[in-house]
Amino acid sequence: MDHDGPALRARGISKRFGDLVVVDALDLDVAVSEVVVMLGPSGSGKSTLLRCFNGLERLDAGIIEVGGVRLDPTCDTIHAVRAKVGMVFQQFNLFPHLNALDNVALAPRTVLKLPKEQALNQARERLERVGLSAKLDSYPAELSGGQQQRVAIARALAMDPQVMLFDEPTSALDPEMIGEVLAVMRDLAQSGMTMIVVSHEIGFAREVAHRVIFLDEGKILESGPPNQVLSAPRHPRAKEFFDKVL
Amino acid sequence: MNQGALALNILKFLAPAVPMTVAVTVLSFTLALILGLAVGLSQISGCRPMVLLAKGYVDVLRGVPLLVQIFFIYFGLGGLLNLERFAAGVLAIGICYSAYLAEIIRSGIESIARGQHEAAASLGMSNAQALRFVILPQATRVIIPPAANEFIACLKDSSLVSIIGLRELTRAGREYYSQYFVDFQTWLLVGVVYLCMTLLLTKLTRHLEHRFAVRGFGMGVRR
Ligand SMILES: Nc1ncnc2c1ncn2[C@@H]1O[C@H](COP(=O)(O)OP(=O)(O)O)[C@@H](O)[C@H]1O
Ligand SMILES: [Mg+2]
Repeated sequence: MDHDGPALRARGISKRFGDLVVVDALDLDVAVSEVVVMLGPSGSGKSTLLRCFNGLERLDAGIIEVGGVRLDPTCDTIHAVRAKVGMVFQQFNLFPHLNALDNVALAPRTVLKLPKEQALNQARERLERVGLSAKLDSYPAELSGGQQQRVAIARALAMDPQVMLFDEPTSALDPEMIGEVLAVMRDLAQSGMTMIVVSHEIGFAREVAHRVIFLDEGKILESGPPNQVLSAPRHPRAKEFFDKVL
Repeated sequence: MNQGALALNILKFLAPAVPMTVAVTVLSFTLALILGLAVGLSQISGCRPMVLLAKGYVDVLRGVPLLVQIFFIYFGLGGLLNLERFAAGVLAIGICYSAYLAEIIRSGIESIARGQHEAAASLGMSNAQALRFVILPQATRVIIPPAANEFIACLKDSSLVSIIGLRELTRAGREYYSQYFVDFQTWLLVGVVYLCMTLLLTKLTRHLEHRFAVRGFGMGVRR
């Protein structure tokens, strides 16, 4: 990345659904290699905010830049910019008609136009990175939840994103599978990936996050190092929430 | 003539007309698939004029009997456009069936979860790429069984073009009857020949369904 600014910059972004303001004039800078964990009550706008960050939602106001390039859903370059922002969904959203290898290789082949062999080799490498070398030929329906989510992470990584977004990546998983997914995310963080993670896994936040953000009604109410935000939140809404969650 | 010889005689008379039935069916259904895909995609394009046009197309064609559409295209438009019987018949059936297929294709595409579109988009795919590599391959599985029903219906409805003088199976049956005045056996055998063809098609579509089945994807077929 040949610019010195933040990996992701949001300025005054707002998103409404009808009369409901879901993201409210929000500012956020995420530095390169920074790991931000975002928490907040259900319905506070966390998913919508992530979806704004990769252009799945059209903004009502404000601007978003990824690596210094404006993300504009109305513009033809949206696909190119979006390809630089990886997204991991709560429900995995793997392509059920493709095996793990093809799930990972599809976008590099179609979007980046990589030659087949190169895309497949790269996909094998990404799947190895998430510990799934033995499952290249498996279809999503043949994989456990934890394995599916790791394929989904490998699929996003195959596009060499500058920023990775995670929307509650472990909340659809059985408890015994949460660890394997968090381990992959921890490795990713240690390798220097810029990450914005919506998750209520407090242990992960304490250990891996550089910054924890508390979101409520589309606004950032708390933002700071994990210890400060999680142990000594200043805002009463945040206190109330953490008392319930922790 | 004994019954066996009569049956053989009728079948020999009908046989040369079978290729015409097959040709009308295959060509009109191919046309219906292409038009149906275009109309079905228009219906979900999100572009208002296109959506309205496509919905109107479907409503009109589904609301008028196929026989009337054949008359309209052969006698009405045929005169103006200089259409032969064959072209008019294929066109009429193809257009009529495209309306049914458009609905099947539209609902097949709409049955694919929203998350699939979003996953494709988040990887940087354009709408066209998402449709081609993610949505349609999955929708195909949903579309095949009802589309196969339409194919069989299309084969049966191809008998309607006998009325504009195309010498297909039903027409051949009428000719045999008017020459030899054997009605029971003639129409029984015409029916049997249609039945053989539809049974063959049923088998073929089962085969297709299995081919498009994916492991762990409901149909329990392993490749
Ligand atoms: N497409 C949509 N249309 C209308 N309302 C929506 C839509 N998506 C989300 N919302 C509403 O926006 C609010 C925030 O949703 P969301 O971002 O999913 O919250 P969170 O992920 O924090 O639980 C909720 O009240 C939700 O009902
Ligand atoms: Mg959410």
